[in-house]
Amino acid sequence: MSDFLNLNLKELREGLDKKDFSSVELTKKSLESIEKNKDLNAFVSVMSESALEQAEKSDEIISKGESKILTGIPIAVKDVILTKDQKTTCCSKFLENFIAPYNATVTEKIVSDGSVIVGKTNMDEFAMGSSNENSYFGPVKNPWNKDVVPGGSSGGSASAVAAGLVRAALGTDTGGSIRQPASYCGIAGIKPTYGRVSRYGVIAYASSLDQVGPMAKSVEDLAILTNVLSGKDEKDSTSMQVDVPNFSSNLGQDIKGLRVGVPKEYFIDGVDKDVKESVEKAIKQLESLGAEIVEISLPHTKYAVPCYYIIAPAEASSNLSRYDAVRYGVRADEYNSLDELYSNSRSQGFGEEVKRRILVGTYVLSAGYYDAYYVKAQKVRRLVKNDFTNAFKDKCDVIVSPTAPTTAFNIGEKTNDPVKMYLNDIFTIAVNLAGLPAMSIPCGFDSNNLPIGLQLIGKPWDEATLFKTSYAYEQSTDWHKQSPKF
Amino acid sequence: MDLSNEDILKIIKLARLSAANEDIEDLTKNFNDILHYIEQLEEVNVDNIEPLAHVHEVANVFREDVSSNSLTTEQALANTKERSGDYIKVPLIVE
Repeated sequence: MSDFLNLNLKELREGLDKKDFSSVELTKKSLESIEKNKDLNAFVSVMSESALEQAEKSDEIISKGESKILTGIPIAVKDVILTKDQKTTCCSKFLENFIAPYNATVTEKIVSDGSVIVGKTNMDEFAMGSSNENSYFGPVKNPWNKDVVPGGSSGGSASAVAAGLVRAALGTDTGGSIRQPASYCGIAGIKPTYGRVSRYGVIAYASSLDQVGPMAKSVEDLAILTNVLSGKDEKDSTSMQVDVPNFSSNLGQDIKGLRVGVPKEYFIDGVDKDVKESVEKAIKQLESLGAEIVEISLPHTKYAVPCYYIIAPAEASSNLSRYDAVRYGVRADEYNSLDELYSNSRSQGFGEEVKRRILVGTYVLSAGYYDAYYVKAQKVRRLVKNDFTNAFKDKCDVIVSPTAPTTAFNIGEKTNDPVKMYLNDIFTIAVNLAGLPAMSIPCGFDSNNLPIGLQLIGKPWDEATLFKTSYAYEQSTDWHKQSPKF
Repeated sequence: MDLSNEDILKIIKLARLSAANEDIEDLTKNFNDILHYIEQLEEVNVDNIEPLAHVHEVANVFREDVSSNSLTTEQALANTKERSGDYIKVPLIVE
C-alpha cells in the first residue's frame, strides 16, 4: 500500500472503488509525503484539515457506489488558482494573507468531480518566471537533483508530481509555464487551446495568453484531467463554445500516416547536444510507429520571444494595476496620500521580476511608444500565428520540437540576466501567442541524468491528436516510468 | 535608444511604484537590456498586417442579464486591512 501514489488515475479509481484502500488512507499518505519532503518547497500551503474532511466525504460517496472519475483522489493546485476560504497568494508578498472568497471554475470542477485538494503549490510570483526562483516563498527544488531548478512558473506542481507527492496537479501556462517545468521534472503536462478551459478565478497575468492545464505522470492521466477541466464557462467570456471530445477515447489508436512537422528553426545553435539527440531519437521513434516526418518552416520563430516580452508585460501592467492595497493585499504602514498608499504598498508587495514587467508594460503602453512597441508586437503576433496556420494547412497534422533548449539549470545560475532567462521559453512562447494546444512529455535524460521533454503542438481545438500521438510514443518507451531517487 | 535614470523614474511613477535611489542604476540597466532585446522587432516587415489582440478574435460576447448571488458585504470586506463599519478606510482624497 505504501506505493499507491505510483498508481495512475484509473488504477486509483479502481482501487478506491474496490476498497483496496480508502480516500482517507490515500490522502494521509499524500500529506505525509508532502511533510516528509518539505525541503522540496513544492507546497506553499498544505490543506490537511479540509483535505481529510473531503476524503471522509469521498469514502462515503464511494461506499454508496456514487463515485465520479476523481472521487477521493488527492490533487494539488497551483497557488494562482482561487480556492474558496483558503489562502491564495500567487506566491507574492502582496497577497501573503489573501483568503479567496470564491472558487475558480477549475477548482469548482475538480471538487465537484470529487478530488481532494491537498494543498497549493509554489510558483514564480504572479506566474512570471521560468525557474520558480521568483517566488516570495523561496525556490522549489527539482527532485531529480536538488541543486537545479524545477522550471517555472508551475515549478511546485511539477516537482510535487515528479516526487510522487500527488499523482496530478493543476498548472497554468502563459509562455510555457506548464510545459517547461514538466520537461525539467520529467513529467507530462498540457496547455490546452486558448479558450478551452475557463480562466475565471485564475489570477490574471497576461489574459490573452493564460491557460490552465493539468500536469501528471502519464498521457492517460492528462487526457482524463483535460476532460474534467474543459468547457465553456459563462463566467469567462473568452472561454469558447466548442465541442469537447472524450480525450481518452482515441488513446491506443495507431498513428500510421500522421504527418509530423519538424520546424527547422527549432533545431538551432544553443540547443543542448543531449536535448537535440533525444528529440531526434523521439522523432525517429514516431516515424517507426508509422508517422510521416516532414520538415516545416516557422519563419517568425526568432521574433516570438521579443513579441511576447512586449505583449505579456503590457497585459500584466494593466492586470496588476488592480493591486491598489485598498480592498485586499498588503498595505504599507506609512503613507501621506492615496498615491503614496499605492506606490509604497506596491513597492513593498511586489518582487523584482514583477516590478520589472510592470515597468516594461507601462512603458510600451505609454503615450508616444504604444504604436512603436505594442501595436507592432500585435502585428508580429499575427505573423507568428500565420506561420502555424500555414504549416497546419497543407504540411502537417502535429508539430514536434524540444520543449526547452536545455535541461534544468542550477538554482541561481540565470537570476542576474533577465534576457538569458527569457530565452528558456524560446520553443514554448510562440504556442501561446498563437493560442494553440501543446504538451510536453518525457523523451530522455541528459548526461547528468536530468529529464528532457518533447513538445507536441496541435491545431486549434485538436488536443485529441496530441493525446493520440503522445500516447503512442509514450507506450513505446519507458521514460514516463522513471522516477527520481531523492 | 537608451533610457536614462530619469526616464525610468518617470515610468516608475506612472506605474505607481517607487524605488530606492541605490536600485535605479540596476533597474535602468536591466530595462535597457530588455528594450534592446525587444527592439529586434524593428526588422520585421508588418506592412498590411492587422494587429492581433486575441487569437479567437471574438467581440461582444453577450449573456442574459439575470441576477445571481454575489459576495456578501462581509466576504467583500474580509481581505481589507483597514475598515470602518461597512467601509474601507483610505486617506483623504478630496481636500
